[in-house]
Amino acid sequence: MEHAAIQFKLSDYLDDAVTPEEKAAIEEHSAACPECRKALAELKATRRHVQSLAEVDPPPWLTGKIMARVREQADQRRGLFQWLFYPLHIKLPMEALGLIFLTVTAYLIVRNTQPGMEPLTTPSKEVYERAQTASPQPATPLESSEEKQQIRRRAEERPMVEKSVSPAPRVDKTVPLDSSAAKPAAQPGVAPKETAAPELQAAGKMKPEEMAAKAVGRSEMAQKQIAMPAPAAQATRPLEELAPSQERKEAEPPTLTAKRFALEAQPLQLTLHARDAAAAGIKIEEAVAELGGKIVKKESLENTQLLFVQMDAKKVDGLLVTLEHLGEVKEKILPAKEAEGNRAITIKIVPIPTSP
Amino acid sequence: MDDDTDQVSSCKKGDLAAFEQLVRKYEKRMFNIAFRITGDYEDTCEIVQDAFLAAYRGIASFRGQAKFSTWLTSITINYARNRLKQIQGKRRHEQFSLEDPLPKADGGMTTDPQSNDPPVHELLEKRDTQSKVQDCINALEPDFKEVLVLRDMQDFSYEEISAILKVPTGTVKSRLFRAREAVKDCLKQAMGEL
Repeated sequence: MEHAAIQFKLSDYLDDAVTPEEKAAIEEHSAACPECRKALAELKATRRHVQSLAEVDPPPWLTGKIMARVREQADQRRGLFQWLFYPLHIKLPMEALGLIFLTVTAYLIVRNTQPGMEPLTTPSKEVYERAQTASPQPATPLESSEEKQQIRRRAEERPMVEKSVSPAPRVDKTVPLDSSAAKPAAQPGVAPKETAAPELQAAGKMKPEEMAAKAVGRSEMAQKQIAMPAPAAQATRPLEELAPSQERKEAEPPTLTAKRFALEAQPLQLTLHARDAAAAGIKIEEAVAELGGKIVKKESLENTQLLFVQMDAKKVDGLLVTLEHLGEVKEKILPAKEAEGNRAITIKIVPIPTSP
Repeated sequence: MDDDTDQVSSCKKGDLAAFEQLVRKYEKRMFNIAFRITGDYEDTCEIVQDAFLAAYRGIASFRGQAKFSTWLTSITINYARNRLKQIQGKRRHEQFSLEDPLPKADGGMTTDPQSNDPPVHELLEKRDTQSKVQDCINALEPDFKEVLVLRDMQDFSYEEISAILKVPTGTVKSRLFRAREAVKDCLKQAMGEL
């Protein structure tokens, strides 16, 4: 090692932080070099002076001051956490109970404040499969009003279309239709408006027994008409037009069948013009109860009453008979042709203004 | 093995008494380290308080990879270093001083009359040895001062100093050599022969 390197290592040598080889080299060089010996001695003296510095005592209050600040810090940190959770054996059960109570309360509030919505009745498997085979796209119940109007327009134009179809296949169709196909024809509500209107107007003057008998007779007549040969059936075509039949479904484009399926899923909307709306409402409620249905919701707007009814689709006929007895009935949405299970019905009772 | 493991564990659980034990154990040592670096007693009191408070706040994150004393010293050195920078910054930015030369009408500056006081090394001779040594230490650059204080006054090993200052051991050796040489020269100038 050279002289400069030895001098640089003297500080490490002083702390015994050199390797044995370096130590031997330094000692060998220092023995022959007075300058390095002097430098080493001065370094030792310097270190001795520095180490001789007396320790300074901190002020006696310093510990207390430090701990006061530490406690202040600890209180700030602990404050919110302790307030929330300590003592654990008391606060945790209370918080758990509170959470359960809040959850149950929130559930009940949401359940009771929601509008009276009943679960939608799923269409029967048969109807659903038919709609699926007719259209690859699933029939969505949310159709635009324009599409509904288009369906109705097509239904109105259908007699003209069917005239162009050869009647021969229809003659052969004397096989009795299944109950789902025949049932809509038996419903008095599905008759064309031109024929139904005089009947409804006259219904106010008829007794309920007569009304029921008339309704039954009409449904029987409809069944006979379906079973009749084509020429005979053509004479009663206006009644048959709105009843779904197998051949019409074959003639319809697939998308139309799907749209009709969607339309049928809508609630039946009825408007009853009665002289005493309040009394009519009570009678309707009684009739619904007798038919095994239930009033989901009642609303009153000035003189008009709105009844939201849920009942078996097969018993809708009976309700219509009662309504016809109470006043003039108008339908906004046609009743379901092949409905099964529960059926949602909206009945609007409008009072007939009395002339002074 | 760290002697303070139990107290540190208790502190992590929120035991203030355990932390107080640590304060009492290391307060004087941290005070002396900070005092030798700053050279100011009042500032040192503030530095030590802040350092212990910071240690309490951060004790949850102390993983025990180094000794607690090493970790605490590192915090104290940082606070002392920052305080020293503030003090030096203040001195540097003092724009006017009563001892500054006054401007003259001709644009020149009046200078103080030649002082009759003896030069610096003569003043140092009048003080006792300890004051001279402290003054020499105060005159060191902060990096050199820290190494000298930690090694020659607090007897930390090179490795511990390396961990405290977060510099390699070679840097510690180099700084220590320079610090000792500077103090040696300063003392030789102040006291003559060592």
